[in-house]
Amino acid sequence: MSNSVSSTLVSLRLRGAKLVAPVLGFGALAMIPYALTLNEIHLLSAMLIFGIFAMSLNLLVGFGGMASLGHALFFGAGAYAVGLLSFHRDSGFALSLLVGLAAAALLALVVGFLVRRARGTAYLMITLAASQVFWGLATQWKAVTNGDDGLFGISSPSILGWDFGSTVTYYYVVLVVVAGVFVLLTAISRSPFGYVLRGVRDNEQRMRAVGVDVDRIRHLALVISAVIASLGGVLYAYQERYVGPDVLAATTSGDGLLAVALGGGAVAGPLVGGLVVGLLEDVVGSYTDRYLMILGILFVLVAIFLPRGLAGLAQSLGDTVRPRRRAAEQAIEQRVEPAQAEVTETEGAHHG
Amino acid sequence: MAEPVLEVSGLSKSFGGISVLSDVGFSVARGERRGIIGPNGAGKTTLFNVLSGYLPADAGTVRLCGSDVTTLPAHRRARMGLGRTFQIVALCDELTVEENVLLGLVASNRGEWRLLGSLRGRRGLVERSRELLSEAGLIDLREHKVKAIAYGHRRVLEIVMALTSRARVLLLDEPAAGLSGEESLRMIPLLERLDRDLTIVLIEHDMDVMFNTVDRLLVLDHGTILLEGTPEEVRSSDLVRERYLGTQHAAGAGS
Ligand SMILES: Nc1ncnc2c1ncn2[C@@H]1O[C@H](COP(=O)(O)OP(=O)(O)O)[C@@H](O)[C@H]1O
Ligand SMILES: [Mg+2]
Repeated sequence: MSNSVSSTLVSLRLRGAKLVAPVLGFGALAMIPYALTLNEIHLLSAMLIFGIFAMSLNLLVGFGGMASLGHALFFGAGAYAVGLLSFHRDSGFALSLLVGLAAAALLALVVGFLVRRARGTAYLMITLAASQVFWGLATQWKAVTNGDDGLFGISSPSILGWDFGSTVTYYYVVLVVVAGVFVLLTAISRSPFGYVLRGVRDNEQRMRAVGVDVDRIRHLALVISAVIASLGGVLYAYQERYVGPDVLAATTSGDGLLAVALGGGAVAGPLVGGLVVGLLEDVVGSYTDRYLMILGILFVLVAIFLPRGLAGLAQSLGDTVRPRRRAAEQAIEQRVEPAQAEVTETEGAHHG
Repeated sequence: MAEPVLEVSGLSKSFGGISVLSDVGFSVARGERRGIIGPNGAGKTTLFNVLSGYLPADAGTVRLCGSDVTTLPAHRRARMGLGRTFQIVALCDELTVEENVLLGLVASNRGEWRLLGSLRGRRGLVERSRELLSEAGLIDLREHKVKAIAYGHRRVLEIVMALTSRARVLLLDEPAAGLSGEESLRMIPLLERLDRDLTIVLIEHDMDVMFNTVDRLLVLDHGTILLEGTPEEVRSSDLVRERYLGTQHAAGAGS
């Protein structure tokens, strides 16, 4: 009994400990503009926006086991909604945002039917094809999309007369949205749906046998993931005040996958991965046009040296630095009874 | 005899022109323990897959608790009270033992669409999962990832998973497959303890497990029913001895 009380206490402390990193991280992001130039703040906003994209993609890839090469479609839907409505109609932020999210949801609904039976490579190819169709539209249908020149004339975003387009204000708006997405996805990851999604990833057969409509779970995951990605796309368009076909390109989807792989983990990992890839894209892109090659090499390096991503690395580091916390965690997670041979044999092999 | 809960008639299934089940028909009464034996490749697993909706039937009907489920998808049959285990253990490896059980419980409460609220914080479900895990002797392993527990424990968890749904009929496909003799003997009390209202159809090569558990046996051979009867009748049948039991012992137990 006292054992269970103390384990509850320790688990509360562990939960508290898990809050520390995100709170510190977001705290630092809130303070850091004071030390940066406007250009740097602008870059940091872009990185955070890419973080939204990576977090959304990870719901699909990491939780659902659905590797998509077409996620740019949904990011692009948000961005192009803003671009088109600004270019042709001079619409405001609120309407563009709503149209962007709705367009992504609708597209995901349709793509979801196309990939209902698709797994693995088929899933990759169908999602890639879907996004390429829209990339083709963006480049070719010049009367509407202005082709490769893209759409400009996006005015400073404002809601109810509050203009939040200045670099610093916009940064904080982006940061609040990132935090919101972070909290939402963390909640989803702990929810029944989040676990069922992981269950579907691990074993579809089993999930069907307990009565789960696997196809619909996968479909809903795609729609949620798409809507969050489009939110990133809307923010992107107002950040750059320009939208071109590149947002819909396969490289954008590839960058997303790299961020997810680099980050590892559930929610924080992909966010950090997104920040890093967003930074790389800016830095590498400004020095060389061989970005694709560098992307490929990075993929290989991550696969070899960081199979569990930065989140996995952080965990291993944490384990060596704080063996005591690790021991406490294990005691709770595993409740090892020394007498049980099968238990001790596997102890510590896997975690988190 | 109690009313039939599982009625199968005229069931046929072939793969690319090769008939695997032909005109299979039988019915199982509520609370009955029914065994299915037959040599490897007889079509036992295929029969389960057709009964539970994992494979479409070419012909015939399957009725579950009175309603025709022949064309329903697997998850719908599961929700109607058909639970099953798999010959090859089918669990969520990256999740913990308890999370697996909670998934089964939350799905049987139709709670799988909840996007908010913590799965592991749902008191009622956690209590029920601890009960199930205690009964199965897996309680100490509940925080282990499934991929990290011993094979024998996974086999037990496979059965627990089938119990998480409000199953009225359980299809158990070789629950002792791959277990040592001693381990498979431990399956017997586990199966005996199950609710007497629960209807069980059991495929098993281990004759100790089989003869200790079932009321009636069905012998399947080349996709047809060779014989149906009590364990004693089947044991004393020359046909079965010659075709199955004899060869099985000679071949050193099929796997
Ligand atoms: N999906 C499938 N496609 C083609 N042949 C199959 C498939 N599933 C089973 N079979 C064949 O059907 C026959 C019966 O298999 P199965 O039902 O697994 O037998 P049992 O469970 O009695 O050992 C075997 O010959 C097997 O090769
Ligand atoms: Mg079989």
